[in-house]
Amino acid sequence: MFISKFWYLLLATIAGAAVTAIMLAQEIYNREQRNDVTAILHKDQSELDIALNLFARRRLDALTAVSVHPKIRDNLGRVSSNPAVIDRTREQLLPVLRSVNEEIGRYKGDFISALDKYGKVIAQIGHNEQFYKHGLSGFPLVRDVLRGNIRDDVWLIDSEVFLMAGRPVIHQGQYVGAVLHGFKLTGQFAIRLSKSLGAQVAFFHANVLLGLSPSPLADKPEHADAPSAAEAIVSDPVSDLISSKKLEEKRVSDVIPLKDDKFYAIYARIVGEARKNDVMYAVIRPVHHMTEPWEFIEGAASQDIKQLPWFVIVPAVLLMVILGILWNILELERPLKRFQVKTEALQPGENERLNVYLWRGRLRRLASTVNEAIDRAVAAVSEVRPAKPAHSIDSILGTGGKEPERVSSAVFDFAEPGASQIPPAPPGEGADNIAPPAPSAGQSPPAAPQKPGGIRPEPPSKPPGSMSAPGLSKSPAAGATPQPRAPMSSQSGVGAISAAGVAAVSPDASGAPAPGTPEELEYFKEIHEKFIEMKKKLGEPTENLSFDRFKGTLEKNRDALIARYQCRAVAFKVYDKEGKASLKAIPVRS
Amino acid sequence: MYRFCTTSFLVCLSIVLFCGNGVRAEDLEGRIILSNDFLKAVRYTPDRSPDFYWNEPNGILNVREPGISFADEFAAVLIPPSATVAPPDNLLSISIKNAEIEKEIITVHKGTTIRFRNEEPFVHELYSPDIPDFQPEMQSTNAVRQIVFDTLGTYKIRCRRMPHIISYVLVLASPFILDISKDGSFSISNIVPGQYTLKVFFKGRWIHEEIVEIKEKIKNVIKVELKTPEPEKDKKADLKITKSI
Repeated sequence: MFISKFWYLLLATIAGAAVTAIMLAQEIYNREQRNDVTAILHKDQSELDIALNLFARRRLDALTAVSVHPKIRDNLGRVSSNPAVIDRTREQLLPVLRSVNEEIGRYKGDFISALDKYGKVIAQIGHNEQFYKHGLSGFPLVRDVLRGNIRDDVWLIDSEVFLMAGRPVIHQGQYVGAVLHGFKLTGQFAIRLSKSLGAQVAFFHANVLLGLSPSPLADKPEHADAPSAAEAIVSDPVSDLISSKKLEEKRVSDVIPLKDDKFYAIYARIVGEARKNDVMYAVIRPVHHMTEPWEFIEGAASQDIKQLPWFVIVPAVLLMVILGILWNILELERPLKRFQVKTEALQPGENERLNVYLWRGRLRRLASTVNEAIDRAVAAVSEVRPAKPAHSIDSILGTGGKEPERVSSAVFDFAEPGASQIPPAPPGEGADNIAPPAPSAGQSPPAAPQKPGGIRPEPPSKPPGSMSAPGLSKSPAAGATPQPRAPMSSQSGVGAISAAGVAAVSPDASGAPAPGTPEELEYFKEIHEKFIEMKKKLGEPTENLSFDRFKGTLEKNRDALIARYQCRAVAFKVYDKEGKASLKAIPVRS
Repeated sequence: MYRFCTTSFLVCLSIVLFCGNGVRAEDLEGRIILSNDFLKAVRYTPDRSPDFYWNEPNGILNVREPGISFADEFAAVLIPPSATVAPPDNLLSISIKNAEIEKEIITVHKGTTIRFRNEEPFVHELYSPDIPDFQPEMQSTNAVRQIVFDTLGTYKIRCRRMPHIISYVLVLASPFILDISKDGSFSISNIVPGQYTLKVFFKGRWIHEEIVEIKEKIKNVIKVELKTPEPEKDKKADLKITKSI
């Protein structure tokens, strides 16, 4: 399942990378939003400054009509030379100032004052119209205008802020006075500026709001809570800004977040004397933050979706799915199916146990478990403790992987090619299941010396019939009298083994005959015949496979197993191991 | 007999007063002269300012140069060699009108009371950043506010409503406060001969200081040339005696 696991890891990595990328994109988007809004606010502040500059210029230009009006010039000339006529002059100037103010139109002033050459108010319309005769020469605007300059300023008069403009009045080649134009700073002016900027504008004096425009995006739900004046614009930020030296020096603040970063604002002091009265303005813009990563999808337009490379995305996803299914089939489904087939093919005889080497990992362990389960089942039926699982000859002998001493590797082959161990017999197929050869009367097993690789002479043959091939599925019973063995082909499972096996048990024990007994010789002959039979069946050569040599090998292995496991006897089993005749040695305890 | 005794007494008294070991008093006359550099620096008007967007000539008539008023913008004092603290002056009444305090420089002696009176329709809130007890207080039309200046020093007076309003109260110990006329000239009489320090105040700072020696039996005249509106670093005696009696 290596490739499948790797594929899952790969898909999980891709999914994790995608999620990380989306979250990173969210952060990057929010940061870029903040940067963009910051840059735009700086631009807005510059534009607002330019707008105020132009507005001052236009008011100065509009005031020209007032400063050159003949009646205004005449009257101011008269009163400058004769201050006693101030009252009469005022009466004459008031209607003139009103009419001229109306003619200005869009730049009509909230008040217009006519001053004599000393800066004394002769006539004023609009704000504080009832006052006159008081002087304004202390204002730097008035001083400069009386000298001949045209100039603008911003005044704070009785808690109201006025955008001022002043022009000198010249009559008969002399400065005879000045006219002042005052435009009150209100919310209407903030709205006018806001429309041209596309952002929210606020004017305020310290913590007092003078005018605030609604947000241009007020109809959108995300901007429904555009900052109200008191709580957002003119609260803590302003208190800190007023005392900020940076704002005093540079006149413009840094961009300041409002309302939990939902809005950004930039503050600036007004250009004019009123800046020393903490008269400022602010430009506010909303900042869109992506709070959830999937807002990308919600915010995607149909055009964005159409432009995606679907011809790459869809096939790629399909390919990943198909590959995942393919690995699953190759590494899980198919081996499981093969396992199922092999398991279903189990039957008494040659295919009694699963060959665990056909699989790897869990399936191999599963096969081993199945084999153990079969052994336990067989043992439970035969009421005999199952023999120990057959081990390879090498593991029993402890040859350390060395190839066991064989009669001839070409003739007498226990293990698979290239392996030095005899595969273990299936568990449950213990010696109890092996019917020992029937003892022949009076015949003692020949004591043939074990020659490594040697071929021993054949012992006298037993009468036919006395050595019937014991069925390996038979389960011999302890102390049972010899009985005719049932042929292998007639044996049909564990249930039938026990009865037949009991009949074939040697006189002294159930299972394989005891070493050195005549029965053992007969047993060895039987195994020999079966082995030759298997070889012929499988098409293997049987020359030079003498009984003596065969017997010597069996005895040697028998002795080694008995020495190691202290078992009573050793049973041998002939089987087909992938097209080769093989032999298994099984220790028998009881 | 009675007439003879009275006349003799008066003659003897005159002799004692004028011919005895009494102190002689001299006069001092002077003039403040502004150099070209001084005028250039004062009259400079920047093109850009945080106070305006536009400030330019009208294009029809020449713009008048901003004049300098010696009487309003300068103050001078002669400090005697011996430590002397003049008694407080009488109550001084200062008006707030024409959107400014009547006098830009108010010179008083220690302990003098100044009464500020608002004589215009605007509300004012005078305060001094140099005097903790002189905090902003609303002063409507015809309202009066009295402050006692009982510590020597220089104090700035501002208005919170009209930031352009700046005046200075100089609380001086010396009894010899020079009264400067419109042309910059000043004179003072009855000064005991000796070495004095002449100091000149302009736009919130003492910008000039020099040693003046008043001599006996001569007409003491000095010229005070101001080269820069900034405080001068060199302080050296610069006595110019032009005439002798």
